[in-house]
Amino acid sequence: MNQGPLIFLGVFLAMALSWYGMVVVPHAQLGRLQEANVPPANARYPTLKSGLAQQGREVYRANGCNYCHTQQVRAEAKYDVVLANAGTNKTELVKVILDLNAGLSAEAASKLADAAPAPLARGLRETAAADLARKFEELKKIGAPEAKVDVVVRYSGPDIQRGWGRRHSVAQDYLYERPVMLGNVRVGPDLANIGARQPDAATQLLHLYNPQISAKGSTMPPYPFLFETRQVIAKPSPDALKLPGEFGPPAGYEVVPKPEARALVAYLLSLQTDASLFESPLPLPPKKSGAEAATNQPPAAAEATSQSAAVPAFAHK
Amino acid sequence: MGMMKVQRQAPESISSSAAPVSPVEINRSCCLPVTLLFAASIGWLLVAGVLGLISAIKLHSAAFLSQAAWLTYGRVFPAYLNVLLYGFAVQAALGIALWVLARLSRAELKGSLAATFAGLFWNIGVFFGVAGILAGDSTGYLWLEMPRYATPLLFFSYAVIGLSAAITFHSRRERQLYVSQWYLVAALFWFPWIYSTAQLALVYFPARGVVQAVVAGWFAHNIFTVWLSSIALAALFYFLPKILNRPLHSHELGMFGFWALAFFGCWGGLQLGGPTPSWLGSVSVAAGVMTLIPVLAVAINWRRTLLTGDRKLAPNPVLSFFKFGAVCYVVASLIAIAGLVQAPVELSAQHKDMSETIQLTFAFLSRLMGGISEVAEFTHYASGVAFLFLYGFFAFVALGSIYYIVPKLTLCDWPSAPLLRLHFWSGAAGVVLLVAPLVLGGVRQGAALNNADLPFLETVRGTIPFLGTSTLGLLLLFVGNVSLAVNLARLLARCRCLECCGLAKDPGTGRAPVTVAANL
Repeated sequence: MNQGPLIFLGVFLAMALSWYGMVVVPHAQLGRLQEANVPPANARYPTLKSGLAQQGREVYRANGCNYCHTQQVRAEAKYDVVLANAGTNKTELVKVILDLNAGLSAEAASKLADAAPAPLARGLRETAAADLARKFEELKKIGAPEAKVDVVVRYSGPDIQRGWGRRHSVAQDYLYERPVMLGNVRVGPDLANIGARQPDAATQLLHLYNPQISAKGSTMPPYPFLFETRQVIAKPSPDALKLPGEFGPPAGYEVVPKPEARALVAYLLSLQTDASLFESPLPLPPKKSGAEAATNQPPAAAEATSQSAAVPAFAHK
Repeated sequence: MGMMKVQRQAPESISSSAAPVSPVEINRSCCLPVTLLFAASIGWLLVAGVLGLISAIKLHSAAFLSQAAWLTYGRVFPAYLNVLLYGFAVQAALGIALWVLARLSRAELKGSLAATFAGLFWNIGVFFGVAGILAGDSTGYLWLEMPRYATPLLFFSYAVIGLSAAITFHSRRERQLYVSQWYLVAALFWFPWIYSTAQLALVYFPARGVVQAVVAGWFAHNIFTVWLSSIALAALFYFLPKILNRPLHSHELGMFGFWALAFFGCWGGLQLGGPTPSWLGSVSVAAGVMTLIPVLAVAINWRRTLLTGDRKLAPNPVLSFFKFGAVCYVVASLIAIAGLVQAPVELSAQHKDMSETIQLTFAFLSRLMGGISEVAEFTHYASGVAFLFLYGFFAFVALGSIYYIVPKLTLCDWPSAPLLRLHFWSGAAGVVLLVAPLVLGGVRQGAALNNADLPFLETVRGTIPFLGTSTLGLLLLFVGNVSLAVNLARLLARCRCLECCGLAKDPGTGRAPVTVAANL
């Protein structure tokens, strides 16, 4: 019996199937992805990076930053259905609320109607939230047409709580990345949104020169080869790093970033995934009254963002 | 010695068109290319040892060798991975494939000289590729970092070696196929496919956005789970019965395991929850779990083969290499699958109407399976699995094959048996010390990462004791590999290599019945 051709056929089929499913189909699905229009000003997203930032990506790639840093924020999107406007007919509205949620007591429903804007349901999946909102629209038609519900997204998970980003990373974020360096281990923090988290170039440069300056005990290696230590001639360069005493060069010397370091920092600052996308929308900006209930951005995340903006040190959170 | 001992299901079906070539002739035809591939792969294994130690030390002592660009972690580490994969693993795998295929086909290796030159060019390619990574020319895709000026050399060298194997297989004198041949033929055919796809879609005509990440993940999964596995499984299916001198437990089970691996193994490589389409992650994870089937199939087959027949076997250090590799294959697969499976069912309102028993079962399964995968992501867990696969499974099987094959090719026994035993024990201890801390430390690291109240730096500092232990493991592995290199250097120095390869005059001695290396 000669099974050779049979085996070859099977072997070919096995790989062809996987090749079709894992290479061809994803390419067909995403290979022609285009820029998207994003709110509020209908701007294009993502845009091509500046020339310097593109050079910086080459520095990032050449020095293998992606072997310790990921560039992907993971978060779970949960949806709240919020009663935004109670309208004028409270009795009918309470009826609608009770129709939607049979478990609720009449008293609780009435309280809810008074408290608007207040959440009708929290932590739903996207489809369940949309279903609920649609049901509400149908039921309200008869008695309470002015009442209105909003579907509000909120993200949870450690990445969000650490302030690494405000939403889940999606394919759109990497449209112009070449190579795409998602990373697969977090020896260092995620950098998907580092440009928004730490927008100060000088702090970034100090961190690259020697991470111990801003994050004592960090296992990130120093990158002295991205900098030049040179003698001060006449007057010190305005670009020289402002190094604390123990990290500083000998007297009469200064440390200035090489073009590679500048490019790398330009790239890092360009890493911002703050656009609200259809497939990964951002929560609404907080309103004055009842804001907590409406947006429900985790307090930790809000705190972390404000912290990293206020404190110049690296927020190793 | 000298006769094929692998049993077949239907021994009567030997084709009579051509008489089988004697093993001596086959060994002679393989000698030059296979010895070259093996010697070079061991050389690269030592280079990998040095690069691996440097990068491992850097993970817990950040300032170590940080002055020069080419020594920074982000260059040494990918250089290490590529030396290990392309310098050692793929090269050793090609050597094993050529020899086992020729022996099972009972035919001389065709294009022996071409394969030898291709082997030389492969090594030149690896050298330029690794130098390129250290110089900062890495492509940025994991396991595919070699720059575009090195990879065509690898591809065409491979093509020549693969062609030589294909022609050998085509001219086989033994028509009945054995399980090992299926794995080898499949692997030899798959490599150019996955490698060229990855190169074209990533380097030459880069796909848009995350499609790159999808293709790179697909390649990285296939090169390990499908390609390297297939070669090492072929070696295990060949050598286990042969060294034990008894038939394989079940040919049918072997066939089943092969097809299950071929159809489920190719689909993995992507995780759920990333910025890639989520259906890809789901398919990948489902296929990854299904690879449990082929793993169990081969495990049962080996176990039955090992346990049937008389148990009174003289201790055989080469057999120990294969046994250790086989155990690592099963363990690595199980750990990998445990890291994939997410909590299967979220108990939501829809499931409230189910009976309490079912709910409890789901809750239990969720905690058992989801517990690991929840914390394994983005940690050292994955590198622990990869190293167990590479060092524990593949390297042990490949090194066992090298210990078995080289004496047949060179007509010389290994000069030192103690060095061989040292290699086994320090290697086995090294694998345990390298992998266990990475896996356990990875779980701890993941739990810390998921706890957002813990400052990030704490999650990193917590891994340092684990990383320190795994550095010790790498050191032990290096000691073992040096002992193999010393053994091989002494063997090659005193063997009658030129004669057996047919390069020197006096073929008479080469034709003499092979008596050495019958029992190590």
